[in-house]
Order: sequence, then structure tokens, then C-alpha cells
Amino acid sequence: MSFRAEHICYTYPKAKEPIIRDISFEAPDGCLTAIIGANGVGKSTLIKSMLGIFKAQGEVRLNGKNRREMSHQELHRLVGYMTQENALLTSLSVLNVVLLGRLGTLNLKVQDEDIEKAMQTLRLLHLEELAERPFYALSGGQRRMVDVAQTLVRDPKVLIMDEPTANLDLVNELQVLELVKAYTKQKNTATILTLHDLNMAARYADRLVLLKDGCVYREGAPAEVITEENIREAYGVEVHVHTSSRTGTPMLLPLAAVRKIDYIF
Amino acid sequence: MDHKQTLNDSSRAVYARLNRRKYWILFGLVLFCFFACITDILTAAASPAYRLSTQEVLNCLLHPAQVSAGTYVIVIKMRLPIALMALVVGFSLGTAGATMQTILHNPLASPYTLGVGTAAGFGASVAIVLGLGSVMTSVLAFVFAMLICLMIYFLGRNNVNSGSLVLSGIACLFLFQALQALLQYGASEDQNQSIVFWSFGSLQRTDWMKLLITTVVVAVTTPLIFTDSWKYTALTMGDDKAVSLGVNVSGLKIKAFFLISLMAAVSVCFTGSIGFIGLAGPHIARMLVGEDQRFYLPISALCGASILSAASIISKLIQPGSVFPVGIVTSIIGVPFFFSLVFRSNRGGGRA
Repeated sequence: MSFRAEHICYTYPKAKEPIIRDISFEAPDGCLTAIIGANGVGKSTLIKSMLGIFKAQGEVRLNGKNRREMSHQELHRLVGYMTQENALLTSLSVLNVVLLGRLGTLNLKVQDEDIEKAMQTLRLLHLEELAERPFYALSGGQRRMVDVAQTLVRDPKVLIMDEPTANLDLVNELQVLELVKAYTKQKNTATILTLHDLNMAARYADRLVLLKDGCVYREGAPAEVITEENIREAYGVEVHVHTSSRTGTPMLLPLAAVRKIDYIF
Repeated sequence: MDHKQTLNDSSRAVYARLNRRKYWILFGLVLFCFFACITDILTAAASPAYRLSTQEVLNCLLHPAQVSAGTYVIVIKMRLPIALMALVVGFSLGTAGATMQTILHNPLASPYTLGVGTAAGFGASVAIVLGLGSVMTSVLAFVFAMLICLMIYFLGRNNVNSGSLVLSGIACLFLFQALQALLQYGASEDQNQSIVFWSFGSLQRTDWMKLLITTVVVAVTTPLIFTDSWKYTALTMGDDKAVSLGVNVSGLKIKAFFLISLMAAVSVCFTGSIGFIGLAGPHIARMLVGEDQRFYLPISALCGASILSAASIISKLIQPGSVFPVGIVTSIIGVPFFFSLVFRSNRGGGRA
């Protein structure tokens, strides 16, 4: 289901300047789109604005249909959204946490179909052994993986994940990105991630959207967006970019911050 | 956990295993409530002249038409509504406390700690000082209990999702305490005694009418809360998470707050402030079944009912021939018991 954001604009209450001025971009089917940009540029704000969690201006269209014309339930069924914020440490079992991802269809007496789907998703992520463990007893990486399971369990047509790899070690980071990529291709979802690791973004995303000053600064294939000049402008960092001989994607080596800091120790 | 076994299990079996213990606890508590209620009816409160044998009481309960008028009055008009009221009020305070703790993410929240009992006490005091009679005492207690809930809500509504509701509750608590002190300062000695006695919390003022009103309110509000169990469970993972799972968080909290206010107000307006139950019921429930609100909410309610029913029995045994105020009993006997539970579970590594 193709996803299109048009002229999103959002100002925080009591703030003078809008944080997001005018952002439009498209996330096609079966395509992994990564939103990148410096800290505080409004990546998470953009996502919350697009989902209607923040009351923002502009339109979002899913297969051409305006989000505002959809019911809360309909939107929730189509879009899987994983927050950047970690869940509170609850004593709920992992299986129950995953079941919550199907909140729209859950009855007081849980249907076999919901349980089956939740277990299936856990197996897909190799988490089935954790099903009965309390959520608080998991490691940080396992919790994030359970979050992913919770997001995938309702078979979303649009997948939106805010920093899915935050706090993950290398193995888990690769696992999550591999999985999301495979999921996107197989189920033909429109997938939107925010990522802070530019090398990972270049390696896994089909399209990058680089934000700067509340606008889209560059948009396109990783090789077009990850250039020394673009990164200097958007991040204020001097980098060396070369194309990896193994993956064929741009690789980036940070050299120095453009804005020098006087270190006085 | 034997992982081979998990792999071979059907998903339904895994899920059933997760919940089996919780169903047993639920069943056990219902049984406990039933027997506590019967014991409550059998326990003689008043002077030995009214003492009835177990046989007589059971006979009266099963065939009310066949017993003497005296027995009928004692059992059906006096003991039965009181015993049932203990269950209903305990159930209501347990549910209100549990829901409050869930929506505020605060284990200290309960109708009593946020001042609902104090406000009801102030309302009752106003009625006592003005000499308005017992019906108006309940009415004013209810009005002020609802009033404090509205105050808490309007003071904290700008930020329903943070600690401001708890803070405004505590602020209102102090306000009504001061107002009550002011009222007592100017009241006569007789009025003061009535005020103090009202504030102890007692089930002895119960009659069928009060029981009926409380039961109707609880019967209407409870299902409205219980059917949202999954949404409340989503809330336990944090407000942001709940939003991402598709819960209308502010809407749910407003609805919950209104229902809780109604339950707490109607409970305390007939019985006076019975403090401990809205706090302890949910805690014991959390120790027993954790955060799954489909079990946590009803088990909190049943824990509340069990505690108040047991307290009602004990209140008749402490001083033969008279009934000790049940509010005092719940706190004095309940608190050490509660501490022992809390500390024991802490030593056990905090299994939730």
C-alpha cells in the first residue's frame, strides 16, 4: 500500500518556529524508505505528525485515500507503528505483549486466531522460547525484538518504525534490518524507518529522505543522498564517502565536525 | 523452561498454561468471598439476646417465610444487607483503586489517597453541623466526593498523562482536610462526636435501599471498566506505547476517571471513609497475577471485597456486644498483614 505525505507542517505548542516546515515524500510499495537527518531535526515529530498523533497540517494518503477520511480502527489496522520510546517494564508475559499488537481485534476471551498469529510472529523472529517469560526479565535487545514482533503481528500494510535499531548490538541490529527488509519485499509493504546509523541506512534502505531545517534536503537512492557535500550540509560533519566493494552501497567515514569546539580541560 | 516442550506445544496450550493459575486464583477468591459473606451473616454483632444459631440463620436465608418475625428482622433486615454491602463496597473500592493505579501509573493512587474519602467526610460534616439528617448526610458526602474528583480532573487535565493528576489530588486532599478542621473548630461537642464517628467508616448504617443504590452503580460501572481490559493492559506499557497500539489514551483516561469517581463516591457516601482497601486490594492482586488487566482488575475487586468482608467479621468479634468501626479494623489489622506481604515478596526477588 503506497504511502504519501504531502506538505506536512507542524509547530510545537508554545514554540515560535515550526519544527517541520513543509515535508512531502513518497514511500512506494515493497520499498524500504529511511528518513535520516541530524538529532532534533524532527524525524520522530514527522512520524507522529503523519500518524495524526500530533495535530499537524498537511495530508497523508494511503493508496490515494486521505488519512483524515479513515476511522481510527481502519488506520490502526493498516499501519504498524513502532515507537522510539521503550515500553515500561511490565510483568506481562511476552506472548501477551505481542498480542497487544492486535488490540483492534482482541476480545476479553482471546481468539485462537490471535494466539496463533502471535506465536507465528514470535517464531518468525526466533523468540518463541521467550513466549512465557515476563517482559521485564528480558535483555534490552530482546525487548526491542519483542517490540518488532508486536508491530508485525497484525500484518500491517504500511510499516513505520522510529529508530528500530536504537540500543541494539551489531547482531540484533542486522537481524532487525534483515528481517524488516525481507518482510517489506515479501509482503510488499511500504516501510518507513528512521535511522541514525547512515552506513546501515545506505546498506538496507532502497530510498533515503534526508531532512534539514524542517524540509526535505535530498531524496533518492542511497548513492545520490550519501555524498560528502550533503552530509556536510545536513549534519555539519566532514566525511569521506566511498563505495563498498562488497555491498556496492556508499560507505561513510566520519573525519571531523565542521563546527570546531574549543576543548578547554 | 524445557524448550523442546514449548516447540511441540500448540499455541493455545502455551496460552492456556499462562493463565491456568490465574483462573484458579479468581475461582478461589470468589469462593472466599462467598464463605466470608456467610460467616459475616452468622456472626452475631449485637447483644447475646439476638444471638441466633447457625441452623436458624441458614433456615432463614433459605426459607425466609417460615421463620419467626424476630429472626427475620435480624437476618434479612440487618445482617444480610450489611454483609452484602461489605462485599459490594470492597469490590467497588478495589476496582476503583486498581483502575486509578493503572491510568496514573502510580502504585500510591487510590480513591482515599487522592482525597475522595476526605471530601466525602467534609460533605457529611457539613450535613451534620447543619442538622440535615441522615439522607442528606449521604447526599452531601456523595456530592463532595464527586466535586473533589472534578476538581482533581480540571486542575490536572492539561496534562492527563503525567503526575499532575496525582499532585492535584493530594492538593485537594489537604484543602478538604483544612476545611473539615475549620468546620469542627466551630462545631458543638455533639456534632463533633457525630463527625468523628462518621469518619471512622462503618457498615452499620446500611439498609436495603443503600445497598441497592450502591449495587446498581457498581453493576453499571464495572462492566464498562472490565470490557476495556486490553486497553488498560496496553496502558501499562506506557502512554506512548498505548498510543502506538491504537488506544485513544486521553479518552480512555477521562472515561476511567469518571467511572472511578462515581464508584468511589457512592461507596464512601454510605459507609464513611474506609481507607485501606483501594490501595491494598490492587497491590495484592498485582502480586498474585501481575499486570494483565483482564485478571488484575477483577482480582483487585475480589481482594477488596474479601478484605472488607473479613474486616466486617473481625469488627464484630473485637468487642463482644458491639461493632467496632470497620474502617479502623481494615487499617489496624490490614496494614501489618499488607507489610508482611510486601516485604516477603521483596525478599523473594519481586516476582510479579
